[in-house]
Amino acid sequence: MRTLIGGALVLLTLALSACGGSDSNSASDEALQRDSDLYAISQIEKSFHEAITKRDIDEMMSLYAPNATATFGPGKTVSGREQIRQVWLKSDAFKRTTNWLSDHPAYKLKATVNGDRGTLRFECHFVDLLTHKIAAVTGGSTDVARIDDRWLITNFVGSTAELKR
Amino acid sequence: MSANVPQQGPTAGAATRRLLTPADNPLVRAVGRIPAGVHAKLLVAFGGVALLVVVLGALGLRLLGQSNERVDTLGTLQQRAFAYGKLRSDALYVRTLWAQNVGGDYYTVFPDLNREDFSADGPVIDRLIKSAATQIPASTFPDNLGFVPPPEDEVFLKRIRSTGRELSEVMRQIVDIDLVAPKRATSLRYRAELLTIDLSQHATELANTTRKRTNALIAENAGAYTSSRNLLVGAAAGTIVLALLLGFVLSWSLIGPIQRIDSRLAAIASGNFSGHVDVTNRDELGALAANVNRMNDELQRLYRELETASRHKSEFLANMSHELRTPLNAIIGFSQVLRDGLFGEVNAKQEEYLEDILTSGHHLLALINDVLDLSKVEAGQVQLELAPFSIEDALERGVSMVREQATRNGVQVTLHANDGLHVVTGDERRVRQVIFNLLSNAVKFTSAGGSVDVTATRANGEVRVSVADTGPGITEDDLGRIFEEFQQTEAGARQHEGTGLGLALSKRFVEMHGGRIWCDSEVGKGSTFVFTIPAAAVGR
Repeated sequence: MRTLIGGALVLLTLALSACGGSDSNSASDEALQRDSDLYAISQIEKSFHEAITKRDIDEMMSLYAPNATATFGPGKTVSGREQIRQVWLKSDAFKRTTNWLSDHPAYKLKATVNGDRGTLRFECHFVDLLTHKIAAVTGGSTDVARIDDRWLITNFVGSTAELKR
Repeated sequence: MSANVPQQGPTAGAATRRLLTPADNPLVRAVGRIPAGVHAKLLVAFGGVALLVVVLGALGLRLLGQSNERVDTLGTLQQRAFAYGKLRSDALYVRTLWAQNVGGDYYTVFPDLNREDFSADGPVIDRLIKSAATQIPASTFPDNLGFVPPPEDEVFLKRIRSTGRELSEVMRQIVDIDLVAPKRATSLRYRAELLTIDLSQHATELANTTRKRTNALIAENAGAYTSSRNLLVGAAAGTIVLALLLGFVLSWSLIGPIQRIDSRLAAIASGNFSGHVDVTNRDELGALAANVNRMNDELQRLYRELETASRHKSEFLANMSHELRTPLNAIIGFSQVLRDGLFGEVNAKQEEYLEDILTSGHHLLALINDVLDLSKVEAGQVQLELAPFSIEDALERGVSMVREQATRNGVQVTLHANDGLHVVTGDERRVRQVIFNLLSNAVKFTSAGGSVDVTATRANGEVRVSVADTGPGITEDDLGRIFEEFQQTEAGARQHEGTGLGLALSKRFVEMHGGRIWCDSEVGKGSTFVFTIPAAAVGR
């Protein structure tokens, strides 16, 4: 009988202790996670410019989600990494004869995050290393998402740089 | 009276065994001591179990209600997520449309873009953007959304609304300028492009926020389900445990005393009055136990009195038999001497009276001997003297003892002793006494011309002797009592012969040998008395 009562009490204790569990994060944990996510999203922009400066198309493509869409201009809406890669390869930024340094005004970067989704907008200032002049100024607004613990671009839309206003 | 009364208290083994029984659980005994009737205790127990079930049901309903509320909230959130997703889609459409009108250095970076297309389609796209942008603010109101957005959503919706209106206005100006000189609206275009970006970002942020809330609620639902399930399982387990505990305690508070009382009654039935039943219950069972203890004490007192009375009776009978037999022997002896004329001739009248004295004296002596024997048997003072003897010889001696009387009565006595009876082990004197009793009864009750057949056989390790007569037979009622002391048939009573102790003694002697005795009879046709004894009796 003692064994029966003991077993029953253990069962009861386990069941009741399981009821009291909570997996909600504290506010500070949420803020920390948000800051961490915003930093990770901003790193997309950094890698974006690094890929153009180094003319590293693979690094550029590593920033896009497999089924990402991109609109580069009139009639240039494509989907999937391969189509996006082809557009970039035809751009001057990735030509062998081009020696551009891609830079960006950090104060014009804007990122938001909500859970596993976010947005990112930034400008691109292409500086010709031979002439030491600004070759082009453009911009991009993107949707990003956390996929397999990495923040990737799911939709990219190119734009006229705000600097030109 | 010679019952063997075991006078022993509870043994150490029994005490240890009792300590290990659930009935000795302190909780069980505590429930037993509650001053309430069994009915009240059962009522409380069943009420308690019913209450536990009700509590469990109420808890289940509460959890079900909470789950239902969460499902409702989730449904609302999903409705909002769908509406905001469409809003985002519209904003992205405007944004994508504007990308068709992208300007600035874009064509420097992407030289394969056809700028001429822009020149041709630009005004058309501008009008499309204007139309789309005009619709977006209207889509943010409850009438079009299909629900009243919560305050946290309203912040985003206001931004979308104002941005959409501003974009609509800018696009109206661009469309107006397009009619005159499309390329002059450069600064407005930059403004419009920025607004499309803002618009899509606001809409996307709202959609993402709602999506995040939806996901969080789904996760919360999953967690709440787990918690609810655990709570319900825990409560159900607790209810079961409490119900089992209640059942265990209550049942053993009843079973324990019943077992103790049963054990005590069994001991009383076997003649052990030394103990008392230990029941601490303050209910009907406690009262029953107290009555059993009182009954035990009363029976013990009565038993001791009976024992004493029986001993006194046996002693009295033995003493009286001895005291009676001594003068009786003198009476018989001197009567016989007088009748035989050793002290002179007696006349016929005197001889007749002397014969009466002798007959009465012999009858009285036989009666006293039988009473003495019976007393000794009942007092356990008779020990069989076991020895091998010939049953056939015993039968022949018995027959010879009654032959004279049989001849006088005109009764034929025949002995049928099968071969192979051999020697049996028993108390020859007692067996011969049984044979003589049966034979003398048979001869006595058989009329002239009748017969008495004595048959002896041996089979299955026992000897079977039957004495069949052609006498008047014994009625069904008499058959049931002829082996009891001082019981006679109607015929026996009429003859005023016999003591009524012969068959009782015969029965005891046969049973002391480990055998049986019985009678089959039919009124008007005769009786057959049968007894068996083991071929090698061990005595009892």
